[in-house]
Amino acid sequence: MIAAITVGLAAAAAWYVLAPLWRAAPDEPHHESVERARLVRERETALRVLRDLALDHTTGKMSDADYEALRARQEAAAIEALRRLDAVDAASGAGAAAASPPAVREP
Amino acid sequence: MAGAASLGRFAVLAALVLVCYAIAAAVLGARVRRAELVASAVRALRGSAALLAAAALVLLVALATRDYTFQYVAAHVDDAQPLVYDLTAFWGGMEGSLLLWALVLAGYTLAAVRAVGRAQPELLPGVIVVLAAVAAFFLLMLTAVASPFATVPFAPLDGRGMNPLLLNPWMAIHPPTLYLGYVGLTVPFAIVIAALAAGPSAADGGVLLARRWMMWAWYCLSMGLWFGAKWSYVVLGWGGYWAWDPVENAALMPWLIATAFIHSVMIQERREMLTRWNVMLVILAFALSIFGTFLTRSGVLSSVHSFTQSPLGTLFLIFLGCAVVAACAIAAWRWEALRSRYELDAALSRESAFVLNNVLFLAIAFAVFLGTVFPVLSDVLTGRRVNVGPPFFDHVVPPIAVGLLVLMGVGPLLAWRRASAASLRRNFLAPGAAGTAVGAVLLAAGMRAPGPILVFALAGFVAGTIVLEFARGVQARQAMRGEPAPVALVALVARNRRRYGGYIVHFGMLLLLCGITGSSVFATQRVVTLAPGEAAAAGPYRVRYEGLEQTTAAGALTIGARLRVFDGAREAATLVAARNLYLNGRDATSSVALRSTPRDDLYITLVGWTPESGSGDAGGARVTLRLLVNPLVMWMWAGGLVLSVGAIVAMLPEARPRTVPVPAPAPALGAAAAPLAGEQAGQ
Repeated sequence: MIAAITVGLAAAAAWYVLAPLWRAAPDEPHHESVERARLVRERETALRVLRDLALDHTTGKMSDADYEALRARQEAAAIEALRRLDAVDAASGAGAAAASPPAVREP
Repeated sequence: MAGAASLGRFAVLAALVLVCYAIAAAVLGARVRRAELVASAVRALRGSAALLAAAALVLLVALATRDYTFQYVAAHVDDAQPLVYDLTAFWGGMEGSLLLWALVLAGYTLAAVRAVGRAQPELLPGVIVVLAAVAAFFLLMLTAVASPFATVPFAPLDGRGMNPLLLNPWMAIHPPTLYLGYVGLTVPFAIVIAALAAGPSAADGGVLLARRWMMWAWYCLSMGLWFGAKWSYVVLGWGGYWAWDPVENAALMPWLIATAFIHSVMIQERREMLTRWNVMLVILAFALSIFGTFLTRSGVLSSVHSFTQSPLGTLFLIFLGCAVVAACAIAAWRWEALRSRYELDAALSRESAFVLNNVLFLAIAFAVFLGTVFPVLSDVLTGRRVNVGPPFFDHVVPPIAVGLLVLMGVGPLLAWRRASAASLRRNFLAPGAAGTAVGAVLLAAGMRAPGPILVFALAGFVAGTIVLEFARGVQARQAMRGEPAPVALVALVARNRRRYGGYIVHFGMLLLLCGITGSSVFATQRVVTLAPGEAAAAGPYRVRYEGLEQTTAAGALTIGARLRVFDGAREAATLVAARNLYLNGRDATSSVALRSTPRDDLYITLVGWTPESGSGDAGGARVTLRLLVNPLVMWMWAGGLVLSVGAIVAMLPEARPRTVPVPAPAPALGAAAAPLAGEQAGQ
């Protein structure tokens, strides 16, 4: 009985693990999707840091000059990430919905 | 049942085969860029996790049914043991704890593979290889050296049961929580190593991706340490919660390194600095987690927590050496690519405070490491085993911890890049006044010990900075949106969970430090022998001994001293301090009589008893009691709870920032810059 369970388990495990090898190859993480994930991450990080900087500045922990300098750097990073995201999405022609930037509330 | 044991052994062996296959498939898949091989490796890891779950189920069933044909069950269960502790015996012994480790790692592996596959898919093969390699080591141990599925041909009539000290709810949750932390450190390690292997451009993102996993591991380690301290306090009967035991230290060291990382990674996010430093912290935290496992299982240092001496220690040391050498080699390979783009702008800045904070955390970790391994070092170097013991740690660690306390208050108020004199005056005035006021009140109240006055005054200062931070954030929201203060407070925390969760954690640490200081410096104790009806004073309490009682249950004889406790003239509690004597010959244990209040704990243990001469009545016996008054201990436990709440707030995923504050974008930037325009985010 135990031997039968063991053999059955082994066979099931082997079938499950090896199945991808004789099926149609799944989508490899293409360079575009890897690049896209990286850019989304950079954008999210830059936006969060910008938000933190704004809070620090508003609560008086940062001089105007330093705030401007740090903000400019993060803005540049965020804008660069967005620009390249646009380029990646335009090139792939897909994922536009997922790529959509954060919703904007007009001031 | 031999069949079930065979099934368990097979499941572990098959899991080992699968993780080895996963390593090969992931390496090959990455080299030949065949995604189906990587997909197959992921499936192998899932299969391995399922098999380990099956193995764990086999062991749990054997424990619950008290199947003494399993050597492990016979060693850790007996007929008198409550069922719940039969189940917790799963991690009560070396073999079961290794299986738990492997099982937890399998769960983490599945979660990490899923998360990394989504966030940074190029790291997936590397993450699989590292996690599977660590799993392979543990599974090899389980297969070849310490199998929980070893059986005997003839089952004993009864098992030996667990050490009675482990039959406690705190001990039921302490080890698995600590394991979640220890094993959790493997995931950031795997991510960082995979990022280094993937290429220079991936390293930075890898370290940032590792942050969330490190935070979780840190949280579990924190809770594991807290549960362990609570167990030590209420079960061991010595009146303390931390003994600088080697195995306790082994858990503290990775916690310290993880704490340093959680702080320094913020500089990497903000200023693109310290990537190299963060990589090394992740490697160090993982190495220390394996070192802790080595300490527990090698028998090289004596500890109340360690398992018996076994050949596992040497194997762990070899594995640790290989892992550290490989990780450092790959870090060295990418060292130039990890160079920071920027440097510190000023000595007085938030960045500098974080760097100093890291140095102090590492200094404590180094001191703890040195004190822990000193007996071994002295043995190797001089042939004499010298134990430095708690006095060493008590002298070295507190001054550094005070430095960290200062930074806990100063850091959040310093500006990024450089702090101006005007901002320092503005930011430090109120918290400084709060700290000074606390110090003055304590002096006026008659406290003269400089150390505790300094700690409590600094705690007042740090608490002031935290309150100021919350107040300013709330004011900013109110100014921007006109929200009522409670709404503004909730929204502020919800929109900035990491920051304000961190402040809540700091507040929890303050409570912890105050509790530790109060109970370490001001604790008093006395040993008294009393006849029935006699009383003794202990601090503000008077303890009257009423008589001895005797009960038997579950293979134990319990001798208890009935006590009435008076706080001033008021009767505060009726307590029983007892000794438990075990019929199977195990060492006797204490049941502590404990009365906790925010002011202090009255902690009483029964040391011994002497029957009245000529009297056969046990109730008339004289008893010897140890009476301890430990001030502020309840604050320490409360601090752990607050820390837990703060950590959960900080770990909750933050809402994607909808808008950020920038001026109107230049026309040339067009749509790409649109998301950056808008209202003050986070306000």
